[in-house]
Amino acid sequence: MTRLIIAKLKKIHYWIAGAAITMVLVGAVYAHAQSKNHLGAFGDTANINDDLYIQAVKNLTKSVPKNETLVVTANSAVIKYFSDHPVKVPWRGKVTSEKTLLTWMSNLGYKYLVVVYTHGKGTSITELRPIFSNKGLRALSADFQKLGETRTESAKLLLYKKIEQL
Amino acid sequence: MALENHNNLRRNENKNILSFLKSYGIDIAFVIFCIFLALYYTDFISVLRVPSHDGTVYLMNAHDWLNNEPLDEIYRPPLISWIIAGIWSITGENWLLVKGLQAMFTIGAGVVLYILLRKYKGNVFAFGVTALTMINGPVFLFSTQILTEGLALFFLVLSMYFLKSRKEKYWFLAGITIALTFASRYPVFLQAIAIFAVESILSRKPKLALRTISSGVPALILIALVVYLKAGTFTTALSKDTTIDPFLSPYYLVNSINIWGLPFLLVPIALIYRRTYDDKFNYSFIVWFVVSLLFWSASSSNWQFRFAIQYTPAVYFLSILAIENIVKSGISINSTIVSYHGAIRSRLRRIKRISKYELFGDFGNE
Repeated sequence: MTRLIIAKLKKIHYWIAGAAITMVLVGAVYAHAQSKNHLGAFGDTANINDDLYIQAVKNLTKSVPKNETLVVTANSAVIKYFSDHPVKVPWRGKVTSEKTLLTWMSNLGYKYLVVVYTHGKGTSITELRPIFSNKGLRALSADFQKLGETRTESAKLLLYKKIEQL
Repeated sequence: MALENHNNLRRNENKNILSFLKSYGIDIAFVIFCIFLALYYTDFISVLRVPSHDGTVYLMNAHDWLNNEPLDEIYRPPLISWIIAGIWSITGENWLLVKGLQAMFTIGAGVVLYILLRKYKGNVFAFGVTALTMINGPVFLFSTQILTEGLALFFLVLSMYFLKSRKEKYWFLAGITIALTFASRYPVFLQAIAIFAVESILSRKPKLALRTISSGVPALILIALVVYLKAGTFTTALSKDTTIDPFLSPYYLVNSINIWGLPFLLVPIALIYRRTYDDKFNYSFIVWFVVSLLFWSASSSNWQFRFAIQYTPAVYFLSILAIENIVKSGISINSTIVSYHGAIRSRLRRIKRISKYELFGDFGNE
């Protein structure tokens, strides 16, 4: 009886190895399939496959005079590279409301604002969300003139110019 | 007679084909795997329409290097921008031309890893580790972007390949590839140094280590000097990303299954087997894994899946090693069972004897 048990146990490592191999294969394939869900840059909210995005940035900003800085709410590097304008993101505590945005822009001599409105948000920066929410954007019209709006597959791009106070 | 000769000839041919397939079957499978991987990359990259934020910064820096303008972000590692600038100097500036650049380096890293492991661990082991690394989600997805992970992985694996040989000229080249690892992605330099330290100790030949230092130090100085002359300073990261917390973050362990999948569960198994430490070839992989995990976990605020890319080969190496240990330790499992069986029987005999003497009231007077 004992010999029989030993003989059976002798093969246990093959079963363990087989289970480990199955776990590795299934686990690796499943992890690969799931990885897009864990990586925001590749998920459903990403704009990397947006056919219209780059052209929209170029079209929207071509009316802005060269060397004018664009104040942008998201995608700063992409807008900078494809619009060929300097860009600035209003964050790190300096801008918390429309009024502070206006003051900050006036102090630095910035006139143009590009809002990247995507998936119900005008920015991913928490402090700026109220200013560039749907309601916030409507309130902007008192101090900003909307120069253009363009839609892409993943976003709505809005260009504003600060109204000069007399 | 002629028919018999013909049959013999055919039999020999079949035998040759079989022996060829036996010798190179896995290699052929690996080549096919690489072709499919390249097609998968092509398919994925062809539908990319917008570069990522970091990717665009590398494009802007490449533009700046090419047009002699100030760098947009001075703390970014320069190598990818240099390569892009080199390509653009021939073709003209077009970001679409460099979309697949990183994927080539990642596939290259896979090929080097396969060649390295095939030589020391056999082709099945090599294929297992390489295939798992190449299809890993973060490795694959981030390699489709204009980023530095695949580039750094390539130079890191190449450094290991050179250091695993015991030839002086290879150790000289390792110095250059370690410096290029630094230029690809500054923090990954630490992983290259850890591997270099382990291999230097194992080789017990200070001459080899000096060879690496003699090429690596000037190359590092040259890279830093070129960046310094361009930017007026040399910064390797944003200050907020350089703070270290002695209380290590559990981020990479908590997310280990999401990053590496279920194979990660085998890593601790590999580490508890004695066989793992009997083979000195494994040491650099163990140190690579431990140092990287500790380093990235020590960050006080910046943890990301993509930081795990460079030590993914070490994770899968240990996973496959665990399977190998389970398979090959069959003999020790059997002998353990037999020895346990013997020990239990002798204990039982002793208990019986003790009971007998106790019954007769003669305990201790055997």
